[in-house]
Amino acid sequence: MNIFILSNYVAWILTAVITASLLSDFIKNEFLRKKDALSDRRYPDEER
Amino acid sequence: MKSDKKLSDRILGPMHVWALGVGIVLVGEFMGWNFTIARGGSIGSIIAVWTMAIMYIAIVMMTNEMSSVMPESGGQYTMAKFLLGPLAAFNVGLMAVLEYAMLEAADVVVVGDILKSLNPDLNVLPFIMLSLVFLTWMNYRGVYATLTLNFIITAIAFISVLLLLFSTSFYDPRVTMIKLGQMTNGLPYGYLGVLAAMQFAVWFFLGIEGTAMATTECRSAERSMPLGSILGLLTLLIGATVTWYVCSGLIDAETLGVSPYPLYEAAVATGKLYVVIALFVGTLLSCLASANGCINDASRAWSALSRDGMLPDVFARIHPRYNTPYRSILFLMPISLAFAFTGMLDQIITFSIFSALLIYILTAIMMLRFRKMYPLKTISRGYIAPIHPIPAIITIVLACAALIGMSFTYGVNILLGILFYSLASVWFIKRRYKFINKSDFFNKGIEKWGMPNI
Repeated sequence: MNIFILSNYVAWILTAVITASLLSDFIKNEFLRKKDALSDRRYPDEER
Repeated sequence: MKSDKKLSDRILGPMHVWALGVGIVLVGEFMGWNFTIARGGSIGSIIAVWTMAIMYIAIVMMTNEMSSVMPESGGQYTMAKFLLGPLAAFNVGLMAVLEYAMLEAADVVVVGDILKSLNPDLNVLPFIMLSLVFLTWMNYRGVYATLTLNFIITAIAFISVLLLLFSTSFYDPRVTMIKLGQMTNGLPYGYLGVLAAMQFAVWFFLGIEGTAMATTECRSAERSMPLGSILGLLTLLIGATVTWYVCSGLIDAETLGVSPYPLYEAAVATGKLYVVIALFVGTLLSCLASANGCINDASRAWSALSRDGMLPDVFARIHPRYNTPYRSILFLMPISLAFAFTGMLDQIITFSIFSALLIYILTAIMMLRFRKMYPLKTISRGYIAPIHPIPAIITIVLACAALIGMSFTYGVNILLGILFYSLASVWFIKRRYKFINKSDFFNKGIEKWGMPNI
């Protein structure tokens, strides 16, 4: 297989792995801190 | 409350400030600056570069003085918040975010272009995505590792420029490859050409003012900020002059004025393989360092806007473990990617430069106001900018000159930019102004410095 085509696959795989790592930490963090998020509104308006 | 956690881990030193400032900017030596030669000729180019350098010396002096006393993170945004008020602060914050987010987009596009130069059949999309996602991941996981990485890759990129210089044997007139006499074209369009060249000369220094974003994360901001940013500016001044000298001496002015990668082409002109490889790596690393610093600065400005109620406060939250503005970092990633996918590199860069020039004018106005509100000896400063108000006046005059030069080619873009920021201001006044608690807004500054003179 051409090295350039192979490098494309490697780049896609690495992108997917790093994105998954980022998203899993983000979701874990948001889920675990849900309680804090509810008390986080300093102002009553819905937009905030 | 955990969400009130601040970006206050004081872990950065002068090395990191240097890496943040130079890392963002160094890419300008590898590409973009050479359009000054197409506009103003070889001599017009170096005049424009040194004129803009004077402006940046003034900006760094003013920024250092103001950031050495600021009680919060956010760089120029925080300065505008305490010195000019909410509307100006909103605009400065938005300009900073767009300046860095667009620069980041341009950087990753260029990473793709450089890799494509290896083989035209290469699909650049996964590499653009990988660059952006990897740097976002680094920024998400902590500022210390991010800026340490920036220090390493920026240093390698800078060394590659010095390697190119020494490979030309410039120091020995008998064997030197530098032929300034034959390659340069003087000042073909007169001083009007110098004015037109200024917007691209900015490219050598654009972003150095972003060092102010790291103020509250420095171990000793009073020492680290002036030392890191002044050393950074010196590095850039030397780098700019070396770059102009080597490229102008190796490539004829006509070719140099339109080259996409001037330093890389200069390396090819030496005919030495190790120099070509070094400059290929240097160009790639400079783009990554710039994008890395941009993610850091844009996310901090966005987070600061959110923290103060100028944007919905969901973006203000700090990661409990990594102590980074993680929501802002993730939110801005697809926005930069969207800018990158437009493919309009010159438009993206022009808007980034336009936003930066507006920030410089406002920085000068802030400095004039800061000295009026808090004259010398009324509050303790970590750094005092000399010969005030000359740096502020120089900045206003030169930034306006660069905007006039920019209007020769991008007049419509400037008008659209003004329209964009005007509409954003209207949105802010109508939708967000009511959420801002003005007394809270100024209290931190008053608590730290006391009541101002005006």
